Amino acid sequence: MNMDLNRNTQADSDVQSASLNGSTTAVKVGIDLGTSRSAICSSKGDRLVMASVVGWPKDAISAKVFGRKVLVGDAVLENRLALKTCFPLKDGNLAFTQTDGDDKETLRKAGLHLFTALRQAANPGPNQPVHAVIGAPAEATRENKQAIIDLANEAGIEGVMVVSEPFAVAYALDALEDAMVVDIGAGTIDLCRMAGSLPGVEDQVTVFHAGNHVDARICELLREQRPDVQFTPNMIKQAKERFSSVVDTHKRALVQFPINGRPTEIDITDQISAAVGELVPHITEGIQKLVSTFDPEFQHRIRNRVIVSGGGSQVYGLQEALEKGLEELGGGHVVIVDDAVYAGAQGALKLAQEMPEEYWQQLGENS
Amino acid sequence: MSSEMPQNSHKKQDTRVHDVEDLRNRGIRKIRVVGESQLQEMAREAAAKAVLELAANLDLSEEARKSLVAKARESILDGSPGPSPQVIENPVIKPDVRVVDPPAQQASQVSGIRIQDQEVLQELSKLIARDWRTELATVQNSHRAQVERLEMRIEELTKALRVTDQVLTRDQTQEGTDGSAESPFDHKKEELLDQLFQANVALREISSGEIGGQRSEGEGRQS
Repeated sequence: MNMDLNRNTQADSDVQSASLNGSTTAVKVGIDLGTSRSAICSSKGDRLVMASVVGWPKDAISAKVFGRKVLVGDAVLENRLALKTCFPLKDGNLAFTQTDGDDKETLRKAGLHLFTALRQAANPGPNQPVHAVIGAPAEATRENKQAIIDLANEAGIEGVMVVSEPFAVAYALDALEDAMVVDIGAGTIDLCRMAGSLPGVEDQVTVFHAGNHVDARICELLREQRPDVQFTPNMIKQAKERFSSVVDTHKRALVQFPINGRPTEIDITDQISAAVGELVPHITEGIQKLVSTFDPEFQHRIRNRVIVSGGGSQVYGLQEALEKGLEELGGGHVVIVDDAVYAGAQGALKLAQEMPEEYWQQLGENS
Repeated sequence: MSSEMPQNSHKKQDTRVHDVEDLRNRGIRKIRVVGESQLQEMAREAAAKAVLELAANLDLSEEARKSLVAKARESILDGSPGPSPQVIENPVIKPDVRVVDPPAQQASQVSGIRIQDQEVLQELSKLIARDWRTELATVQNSHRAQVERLEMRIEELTKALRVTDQVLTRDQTQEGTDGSAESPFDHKKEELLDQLFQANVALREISSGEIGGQRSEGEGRQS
């Protein structure tokens, strides 16, 4: 696994992290379990983001080449031609909870391997317990939350708490009152309004038109308009992450895609811009839903503090596009989180560290 | 101006020679007479330029392009100088100037450098034309985004500083009477952490069937 390449030290950001506590015996970790990528921050100061994918060698030769029975993370994407790959998460949830038949066990094992890899990334000492707060989609089902707890326990994480991902972001930013968090991921866009208490069902919305839908839409548009171009969804995903924008800029999205096997420069600016732009109405619709059902006396407060996080928040021009969308609701102010990739994991770590130790002990006894 | 040349003798030698009157009728007022060697030089230069442009437009590797240009230079600009001048043993008029020809190697270097310069200039021109707009837009966009984020960051830090000041002021007033120092969020956070813990306990209890069918009050939607 290519963990070292992804390992990152904690950079300056607007995410407020709790102080590292070396006195506790357990390593505390915060995990943002994402459909496309998962991030982990540990109380030891390590943090890592990895692709949420697991791969098994296709045959004896590839098993010999890799020297391992299973690979997890970015190494799987880099060597996917020699591997059977499996994405254990779908639409933000553990996929095996929504699947029947032969695939169910494979997906469950893939989820277990992902948790094991995340635990290893926390780098605990021998016999040192790990306590984790894990972010899940805002509208995750009870079965899915329980599955997260079970698999994490099975992977050797002793204490597990599940938290809604946007709430973890809000906690990281100390935006516990008069704020709305929009967490744009690959599988889901999670919206959560913060009113000074733990958000309930009525405070959260999950939109399933997220990053993966954008990738699919770009593929569709490119196939329609340039049928001669050869590409894979992964190539489109990489191009989108590099060039995504919802506004018309002079910067063109020029990529080298093959035509009849010959690398050719293709301009996919229009396709990316169109597909990414389709996200905005879904987000503003979610914001409208949460604002309109809030106490009318305080609606303007949450409108004026919309915090956007997640990989999708890095789309150029999104802030202006959302503020324009909010004009119909009377206007608002949108802030993009600096450390978008780690904000959720950092908030989850902060929760894990500030959670009283006796609570962890109780959960450990119950699990 | 040497347009008024006798035409009859030329007609016999070269069928491409035009009648001056005919040229005038066509609207041509001036004609430059060019020497044979100058004409050859111009033709070579034009051919070299055409080859360079062609090489620039071809989808070739840098190595192949350089090789092509070198071959072109060899055969066009550095090729044979043409027929040797005829030596006249006893000229009627002796030359009054002495022309010193540059060494052959020097001439070759000069033309080589000129082609290389042209090549480099062409590449630079193409690069600049292609990239400067993109680069400018990128820098402008990046700069604007950074400024906006910095402004927001400053705003947040200012707020945080204000809160810190308030806490410090309050701590100073309470010093001696109350030893515990709390941040404005401490109490709220305690409640939130407790609620989160309770929600997770409830989730486990529901799943283990102790409270079958009931929904947790706090976190998220239950199926």
